[in-house]
Amino acid sequence: MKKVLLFFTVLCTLFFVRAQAQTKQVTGTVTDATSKETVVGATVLVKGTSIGTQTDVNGRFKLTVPTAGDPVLIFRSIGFKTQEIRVSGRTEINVPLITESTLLNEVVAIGYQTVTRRDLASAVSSVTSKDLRDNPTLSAAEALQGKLAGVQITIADGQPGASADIFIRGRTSITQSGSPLFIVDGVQVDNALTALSPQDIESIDVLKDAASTSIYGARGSNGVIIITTKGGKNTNGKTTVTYSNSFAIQKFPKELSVMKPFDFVEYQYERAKITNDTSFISRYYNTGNPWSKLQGYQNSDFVDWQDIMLGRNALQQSHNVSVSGGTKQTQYNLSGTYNDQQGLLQFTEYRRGLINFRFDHQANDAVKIGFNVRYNNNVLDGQGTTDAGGAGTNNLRQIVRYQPLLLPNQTVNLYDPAEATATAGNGLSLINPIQDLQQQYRKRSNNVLDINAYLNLSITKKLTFRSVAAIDYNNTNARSFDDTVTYNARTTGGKQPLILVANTSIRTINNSNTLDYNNRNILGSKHTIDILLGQETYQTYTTANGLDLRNFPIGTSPDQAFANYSLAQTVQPPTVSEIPVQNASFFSRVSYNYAGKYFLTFNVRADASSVFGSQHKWGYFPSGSFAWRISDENFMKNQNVVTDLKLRLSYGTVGNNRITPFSYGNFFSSGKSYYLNDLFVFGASTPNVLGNPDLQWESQVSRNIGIDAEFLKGRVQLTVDAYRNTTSNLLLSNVIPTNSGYGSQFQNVGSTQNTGLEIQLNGTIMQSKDFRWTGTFNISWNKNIIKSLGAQQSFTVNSGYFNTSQQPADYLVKVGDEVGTFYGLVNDGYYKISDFDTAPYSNTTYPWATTKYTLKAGVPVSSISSTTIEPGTQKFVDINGDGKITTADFTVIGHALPRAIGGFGQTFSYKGFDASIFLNYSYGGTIANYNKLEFTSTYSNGANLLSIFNNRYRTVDPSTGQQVQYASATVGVIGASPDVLNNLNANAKYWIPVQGIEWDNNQTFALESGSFIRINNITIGYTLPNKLTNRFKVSNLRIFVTGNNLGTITGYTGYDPDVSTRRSSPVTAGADYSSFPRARVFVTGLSVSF
Amino acid sequence: MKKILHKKLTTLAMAIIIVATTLVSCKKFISPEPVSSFSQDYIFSNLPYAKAAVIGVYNNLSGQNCYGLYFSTYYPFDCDEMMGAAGTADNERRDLAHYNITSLNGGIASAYANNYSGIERANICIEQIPRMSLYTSGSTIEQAELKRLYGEALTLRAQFYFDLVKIWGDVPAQWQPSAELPTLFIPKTERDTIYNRILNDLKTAESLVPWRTEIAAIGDQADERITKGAVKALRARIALFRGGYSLRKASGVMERSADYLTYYTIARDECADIMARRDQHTLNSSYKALWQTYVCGRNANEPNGEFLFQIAEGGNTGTTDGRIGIQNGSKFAGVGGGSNSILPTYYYSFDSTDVRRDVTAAPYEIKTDLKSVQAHNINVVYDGKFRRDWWSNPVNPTLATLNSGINWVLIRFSDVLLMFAEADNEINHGASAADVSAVTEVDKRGHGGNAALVPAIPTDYTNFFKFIVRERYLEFGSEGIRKYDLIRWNLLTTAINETKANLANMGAATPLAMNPPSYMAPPPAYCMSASLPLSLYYWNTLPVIFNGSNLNTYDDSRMFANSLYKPAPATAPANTTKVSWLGYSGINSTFTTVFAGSYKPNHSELYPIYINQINASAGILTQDYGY
Repeated sequence: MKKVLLFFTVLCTLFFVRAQAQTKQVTGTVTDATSKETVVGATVLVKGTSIGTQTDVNGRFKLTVPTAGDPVLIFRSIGFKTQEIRVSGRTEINVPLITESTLLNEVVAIGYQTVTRRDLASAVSSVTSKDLRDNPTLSAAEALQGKLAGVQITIADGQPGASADIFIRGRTSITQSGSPLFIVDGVQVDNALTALSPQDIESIDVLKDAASTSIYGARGSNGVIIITTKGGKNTNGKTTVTYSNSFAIQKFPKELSVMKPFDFVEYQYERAKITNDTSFISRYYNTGNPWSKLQGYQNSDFVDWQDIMLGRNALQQSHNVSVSGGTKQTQYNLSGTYNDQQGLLQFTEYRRGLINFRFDHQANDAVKIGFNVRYNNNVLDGQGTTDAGGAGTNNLRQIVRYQPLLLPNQTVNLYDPAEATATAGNGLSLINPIQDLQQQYRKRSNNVLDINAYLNLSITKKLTFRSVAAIDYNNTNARSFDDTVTYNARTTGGKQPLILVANTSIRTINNSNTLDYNNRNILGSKHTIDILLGQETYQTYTTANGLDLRNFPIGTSPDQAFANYSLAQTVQPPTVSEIPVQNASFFSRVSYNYAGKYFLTFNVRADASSVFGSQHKWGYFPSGSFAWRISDENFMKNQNVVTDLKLRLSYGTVGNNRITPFSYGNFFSSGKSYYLNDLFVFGASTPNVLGNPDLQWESQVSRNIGIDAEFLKGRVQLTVDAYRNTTSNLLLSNVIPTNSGYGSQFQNVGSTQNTGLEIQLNGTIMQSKDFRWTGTFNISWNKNIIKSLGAQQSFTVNSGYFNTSQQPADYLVKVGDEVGTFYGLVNDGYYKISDFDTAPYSNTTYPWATTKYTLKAGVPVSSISSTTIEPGTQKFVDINGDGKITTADFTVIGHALPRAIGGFGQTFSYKGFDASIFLNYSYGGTIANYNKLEFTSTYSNGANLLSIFNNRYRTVDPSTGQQVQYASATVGVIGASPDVLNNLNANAKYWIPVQGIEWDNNQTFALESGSFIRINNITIGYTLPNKLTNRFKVSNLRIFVTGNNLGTITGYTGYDPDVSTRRSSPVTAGADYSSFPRARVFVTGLSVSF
Repeated sequence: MKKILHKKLTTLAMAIIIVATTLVSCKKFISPEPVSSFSQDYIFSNLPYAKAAVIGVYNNLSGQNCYGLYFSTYYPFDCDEMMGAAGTADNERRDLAHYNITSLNGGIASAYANNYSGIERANICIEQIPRMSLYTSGSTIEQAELKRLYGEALTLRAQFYFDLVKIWGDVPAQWQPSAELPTLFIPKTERDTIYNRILNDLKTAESLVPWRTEIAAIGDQADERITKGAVKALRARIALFRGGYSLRKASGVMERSADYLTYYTIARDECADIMARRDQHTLNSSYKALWQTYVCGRNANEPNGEFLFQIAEGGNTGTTDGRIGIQNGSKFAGVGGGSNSILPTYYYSFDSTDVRRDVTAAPYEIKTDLKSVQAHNINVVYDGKFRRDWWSNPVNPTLATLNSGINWVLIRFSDVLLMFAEADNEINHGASAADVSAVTEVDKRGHGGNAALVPAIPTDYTNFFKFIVRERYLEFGSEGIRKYDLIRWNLLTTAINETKANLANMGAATPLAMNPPSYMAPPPAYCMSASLPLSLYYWNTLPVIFNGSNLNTYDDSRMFANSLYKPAPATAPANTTKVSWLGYSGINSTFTTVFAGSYKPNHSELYPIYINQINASAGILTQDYGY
C-alpha cells in the first residue's frame, strides 16, 4: 500500500514541478584527449535536469543553463569516459574526453584470481546484474537463457522451482551429469542458480576453455560458472536502502486439443466394438439402443479439464530489500528476498525466502577479511504433473485423459470409483483430476545455509596470501501423503492413507589457500609476471533417510499423519545412507605478459578424489594459453576502425570424476531382505551396478581459438571463439550384458568430441542526447560426436518415460553418432485395404460382414502390433527389408540436440524510459513428444484421446453406428465390402488407435522439430527524475512492466519445445513426457533506493 | 656461522616433517571408508553377515520379478488346466499367456534379469563362503551354519538357472562372480551343460544342508529356508527336465537326449531318499488344509513337511512380496484376483468325489457386504488355492491391493511321490508295486483319504504313464507346474489342441460330449457327458462364512442346489439364483478365441529374450526359436 501511495504522490508532483529560474548560455568544444580531434555528437546535459544538447560537426555545443546553484554538466560519448564538470560561472568550457572501453576494463573472474577483460587470455562469457535486471523472474537460470554464447540452459519444465539443465559447449559426458561447476564467491556450490536470488547476483562469468577451467581441474570439464554476489560499496558511510518488488500473473498459454464429448463417446463405442468389451461404454447408455442413446451426447457440455486444472490466474510476487553501504575500510550488503509463486496447476505453490549478508573489511594495509552468509529456505507445495515414480503417478495423463463430460448427477469434483475401475487398463485408473491432485499432498522444504569467509594477507606488495573457507548445509525434507483414491494408496496402501518422508542433508566443506606473487615490471622492464600457488580441499558428506508408513486410518489428515507416525499400521524398514566424498588438490598458474601485448599463461592442477580406487586417485591437468593484443602493435596505430583486437589460443586438459562414490569396488548394501515366517530378515548384496577397480579420471583435451575485437571506439564489440573438445577415458555408465547380474557398470571407455563456434556481438546502434539504443546478439553452433565406446560400437538406452524396465529402448548411443540420438521405428501410416486379398464371407454372428480380408503375400507383416493386422492397423517401414516389421527395424530416427542456439536483444532508453526486448532461439533440435504418443493410444478403456485422432481409420460407420470391420486371431479379418471401407476412410490420416502397450515404442510419429524462437522477455521501465525523487529522499525510483514467454514461434505441438523431462542422463535429452506446461507471465514492479 | 646453518637445517627438517605428515594425512583424507555399504571382505568375515549375503540371494526368489508374480501367475499359462489373463492383446501378461509373444513384450524383461542378479549374488557366496576362515576353523555350530549357507547358495543358483533354461532354453551361463570374469559378453551355453552342472552342484549341496528337523541342532528355526529335502526334490525335478523334451535350437523341434534314463534314475533315487525319511517329509492328510490353513493362513510351517521348498513373500514391497491371490485367485468385495481362469474342461476332469476340485477351483466371489456369496458362470471360475476368503494371519482380504504376503509353494511331497512313480515306470518300462503305492497315496488323499474312491491304477508302462499325467493334472492345479510338465513330456501341443476342441464342444449352443483326452487317463464318463447341466442354482443364503474375522469354513460343494453332473431341474429351486453353465456362449467368447490363441508348436515352448537384453550383448546373444 505504501508503495502505491508513494507512486501516486510522485506522479502528482510531476505536474506541479515547473521550476522558475534564471538562465545563462554556456558554449565549448569537446575533443578526444588522445588524438586531439573534435568529438561529434557528444551529449551535454545539465545534471539533474532534462536540459541538454549535442555537439555539432565541429565538436561545438551551446547550452542554456540555470545560474542558480552552480550546475554540473555531464559530457557523454560512446567510447569515452563520462565526465562531470562544474560550470562555476564559466561561459566557455572545453572538454578533452578520455578514451574508454568499458567492457575491456570490466573485471572477470578466472578462478582464484580476477583479471580485466583486456588481459584475459581465455574464453569467458559474462553477464552482469544489469543484464539480469530486465528479467524479473524468480530463477536466475531462466534469466540467463540465450544470453551467453555457448551456454545451453534448458529448464526442465514449467513447474515452480524446476531445475535447469546447463550445458557449456555441448555434452561431453554421455551418461553422467553434464552440469558445470559453480563457484560462488570463491566457493563451490551445487545448483547455485537455483539457490541464489537474481537480485543478489553482481556478475556471472562462464569459463569455457581449458585455459580457464583447468585451474579447477577436477570438476572443470563441463565448464565453470563463477558467480560473484553483490557486496557493499564505499559510500563514505552513507547507507543505501533498495527495495524492489514485482507482481505477476501467469497464464496457461496453450492447451492440447482433446476429443470433445460426442467424439469421445463415439470412439469409446467403436473401441467396444473392436474389443468386445462394453464394460466402459455401457455406462453411457445403460439400456436401450446404444447408438441412438449415445446421440444424446451431441449436446453435452465440454468439460475442459486442462483449463480447470491449469487455467487459473496463477499469481507470483517477489520482494527484495537490500541495505548496503560502507566506508573505505568496511563495506557491507544485507539483502533479503521473498518469492511466492503459484503454479499453473491447482494446488501447487512455491515459496522462497533468502537472506544474503556480505561483509568486507580492510583491517590495515596488509590484511583484508570478509565473510558471506547465505540462508535459503524454499518450500514447494503440491504434486505437479508428475512424480519421479513414472507413468503410474503421471497426473498430466489423468488431466488430459479424463472423460471430457459429466454424466447426469456428476459434479466437477466427484470421485467416481466405477470410472476408476472401468479404466484400469495397464494401471491407468482415471480419477477425477481435482480429487487426484487434492489427495496427493506434497511438500518439499529445502534449507540451505552457506557460510564462507576469506582472509587476504599482503605479505609484501608483490606477495599475497589468500585463504577461503566455507561450510555449507543443504537439508531437504520431502513429505508426501497419499489419500485413499490415489495411485499409491490403491496399489500399496490398501486404499488407506500412506506417507513417505525423505530427508537428505549434504554438508560441504571447502577450503582453498593460495599464494600469489605479482610483479608488474620486473626490474623496471615491461615484463609482468604473476605466479599463483594453491591448495584446496573439498569434501561432502551426504546423509539420506526415508520412512515409508502405510495404512493410516481413513480420515487422517496429512498434518496428523506427519505428526503421528504411530497411527500407521504398517511400517516399512526405514532406509538410511551416508556417503562421504573427499577431494584434495594442488594447483599453480603462471601468467606472463610483455607490455600488455603478449600474454602467456600456464596452469597445472593435481587432483585426488576418493571416488576412485587406491591406484587411480590422482589426476593431473595442465593447460596453456597465449594471447596477442594485435591492436597495440604499431601497424595498427594508424587506423581508428578497430579500437581493440586480441587473438587468443589455448590448449589444455581438464578432468571429471562425477560418478557414484565407491563405484570402484563391489560393496554390499543392505535392503535385499527376505521375509522368513513373514518377518523381516536382513539381507545384504551388491547393487545393480558392477564395481570397477580400474576407474580413473576422465580427461578432456580442450582447444580454443578466439578473437576479441572492438570497433569504432567500443561502439561495436565482437567475440568469436572456435573450439574442439575431445574427452577420453570417458566415464560412462555402460550397459553390460544381463548375464552379469548387473544392469550397468561405470567404465572409462568412451570418447566424445564437441566442435563448435560461438559469436557474441554487442553494439550501440544509436546514441543521441536522450536516446540510446543498444543491441546484443549471440549464436553458438555445437556438433557432438561419439568417438568411441570402448569394446562396443553401440548400446541402447531406455529413457524409462513410461516404464523404467519394461519399455523398448528409445535412445541409441553409437560410435559416430551424437549424444541424444533417438532410436525407434519409422511410421508408414497404416495398412490399406489394398494390402489385403478379399474373399466372400458370411456368418450369422457377423451379419454385416460380406468380405474376408487376408493380407497379401509380400506385404510386410508387423509383429510389432499385438492385435490382428487389419486395414487401419498402424504400420512401420521394413527398414532391413526382410519382409517383416519387427524390432530389428529399429533405427536412428532423429537427434535431440539443437544445431544452433542463441539469443538477441535490444535495449532502448529515452530520458527516464527504458525498454528492452530479448528473444532466444534454438534451431535444429528434435523433441520426442511422448505425451502425444500416449494420448493417441488406447491401452485402456475410457481414456480420452487427442482430437487429431478424430481423423482416424474407422471400423464403425459414424453416420449409422454400424460396425463395418472386425478382426481377431480366430475369426480373422472380416468386414463390409472394400468400397464401403474405402469410402468411409478415404481421408483418414491416422491408424486405429493402438491398444497394446506397444504404443510406447519410439517412432517418427512422436518426433517433432524442437526449433523455436521465443519472445523471452519484453520490459518497459521508467526511472523518475532525480530532481523529483530527491525531494522524497529517494535517490532512484524505477517502475516497470515485463512480459515473459510472450510468444513462441515453433512447429511443436506439445506444450513447449524447450523441455527435457528425463534428465538423469544426457543421453535421454529431448524427451517430453508429463511435463508441467510453462506459463506466460505478466509482471509489474518497482525498484526504489534511499 | 654454525648457528645459521643449524637454524636452516631445523627449518628444513620442520618443512620435511610438515610435508610428510601432510602427505600421509592427505592419503587418508582421500580414502574415506564407505559407511553405508560393506566390503566383501567384511561380509565374509563373520557368520551373521555371511548369512545376510545368502538372504540377499533368497531375495531374488521373492518379489514380483520372480515367484511373486511372473513365474507364478504369468508364465505358466495357457495350458490344459487354466488360461491366463483374458482380454485383448496388451504386449504383456495377456500376450504371454496366449503365446502372442514378441521380443518387445515387457513381461519378459525383469524376470530374466532378476534371475541373473540372483545367480551373481549366489556366485559370490559360493566363491566366498568356503574361503572363510570360520568355514574350517569356526566352532562346530559355525561350521555347520556356514555349510548350510553354502549349500543354500548352490541350491538357489541351481533354481535360478533351472527357471532360465525352462523358460528361455539355452542361456549364457557364468559360474564365477562378474567382477572376476575377463569378459561379460558370453554366448549362450547349451542347456544340457547347465543342467549337468547344477545337478552336480545340488549333489554337493545335499551333503551340506541338514534335514528339516535337524536345523534346530545348529540353532536355526523352522522357516522357509532350504533343507536337505528341498535340495533332493529340486534335483529330482531338474533331472526329469534334463531327461525330458525341450525345443532345440539346432533341430528347431522338441527333442530329448538319448541317455534320458540316466536322469530319470537320478530323479527316482532322490525321491526314494526323501520317501525313506517320512520323519522329515510326508503328506498332510488334508489337501484343503494345505492351502486354507498354511498357505492362505500365512503359516510356513506345515508340520508334516509336505512343503519341501516354498518361497517366502512378505514386507509389502515389489522386491520382497508377491501378488499371489491378488493377480490370480478369487475376487473379494470387488477387490483383486480373477486374472487367471480355471478351464471348464479342467473343472470337469475331477470326478465327483475328488476333494481337490473345490480347493483348486472357486466358482464364486464374496460380495461387497464381505459375507454373501455370488456364484459365477462357468467361464469365470477362479483358481481357489489362494482365495481371499481363506486369508488369515492377518485377515485383510480387502486391504491388500498389490502384495499379499502369501507364500508360493515350489515343491510339495506329493510331487516327490509322483516323480518317483513316473521315473521308476520309465526306467523299468512298467510300474512296480512301489510306484502304484506312491500314486495311490496321492490320489487317496485327493479323495479325502477314502481308499475306496481311488480308481484302478493300471500297471502297464503306457497306461501308468497316462495315469501319472492325469494325477499330476489333478494334484497341481494352478501351482505353475502343468505347462512345464507337458513340455517335458512333449504333450503341450496335443493338450492345447484337445482342450480347444473340448472347450468348443462344451460351449456349443447344444453342448457336445467332451472327447476323452488321448494323452492322459480320462475322467469318468459322466464328467464328459453332453448332458451336464446348462444351469446351476446357488443358494441365496449360505451358512457362511466371512464376517471380517472368521474364515470361510463352509464346504464349497454345498454352494449349488443342483448336481454338477446331471441336467438342471426344469424349474429353479426356491431361494436360489441361476448361473449359466454348459452351453453358455461365454465359454466361446472367453476361451475359444483367446485360449492359447497364438500357440505355435516348436516355437511357443520357449520365450524370446527381451529386445533390450539382446541389444546389450553387442551381438553375442542370438534370438532363436523363430522369434
